[in-house]
Amino acid sequence: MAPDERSSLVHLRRGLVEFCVLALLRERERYAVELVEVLSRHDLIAGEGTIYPLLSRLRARGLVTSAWQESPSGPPRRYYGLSGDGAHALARFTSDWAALSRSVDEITHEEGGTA
Amino acid sequence: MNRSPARHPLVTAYVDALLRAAAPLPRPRREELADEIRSHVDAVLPPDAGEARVREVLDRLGTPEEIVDAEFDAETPGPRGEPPRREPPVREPLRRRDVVGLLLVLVGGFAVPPVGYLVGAALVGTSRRWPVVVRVLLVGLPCVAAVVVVAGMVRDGHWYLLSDLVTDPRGAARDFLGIGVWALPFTALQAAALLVAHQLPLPRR
Repeated sequence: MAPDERSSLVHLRRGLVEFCVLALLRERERYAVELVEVLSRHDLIAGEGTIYPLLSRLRARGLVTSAWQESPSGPPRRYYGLSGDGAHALARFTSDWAALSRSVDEITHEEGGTA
Repeated sequence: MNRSPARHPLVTAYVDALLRAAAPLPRPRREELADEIRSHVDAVLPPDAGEARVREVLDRLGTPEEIVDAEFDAETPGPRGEPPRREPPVREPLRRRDVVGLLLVLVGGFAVPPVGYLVGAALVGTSRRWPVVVRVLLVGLPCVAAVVVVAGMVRDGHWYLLSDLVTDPRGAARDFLGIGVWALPFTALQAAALLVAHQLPLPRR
């Protein structure tokens, strides 16, 4: 793959990771290490440390809430939850993404050269 | 023994490097970021973690520069996830007519005032090399001021007459020189401001 194509994919993935984080917070609060574990497993984050700037951005935009909680083992942990705005953003993204991925699938797989 | 893995020398060196790389960030965020990384290390490593394990965790974190770069992404107002938008200023080079316009603005006071000056102002004022707001503030307003001053002087009989150009060319030339010299500090300031404005990354509108 050409470097340009690779870099567009990297950018695309980065943009999507934010919504994956919001989705992971939909069911329950989580702390950063838990989020990183899931994202790494799906190969969605390169440097695990970049989760912190990402969470800071989501906090600044009011999409997540955060609170320090005592941990059963070790130092206190900062737990993140989905805010009302975050839930709205996620709902909007989920429907946009469904439509987008359907369109991309149709064009790349089904219609191919005739599209 | 250090109980907290975050106190491991490799981790403290990593955090120090992170703090250095994060120097452009506001101090509270820089320190928060360092705390987050320490807390991350404490959360994923057992207290007695060996060096190899510590290295592995730091490797997974990515380089401090990578983290700081992601932090700058965060301040990007553009589409999310794109690299930092530090767009080069959209600055188109001046064309010959822009340069002529600037020169006439600068020394137009010497050339059949205020005709030379106004021609220069018209050239610059209609050039898209400057944003509209700059042209209004740095060309339109000074022009209005110049016209008001000249009109006042004409009314009071302090301005030269066009007929002087024929009947007393030497006197007219002296007048032009006097007006040009008098106007020069203003027009020099104006031309300098226009040049600076052209260098600034201002929005087109």
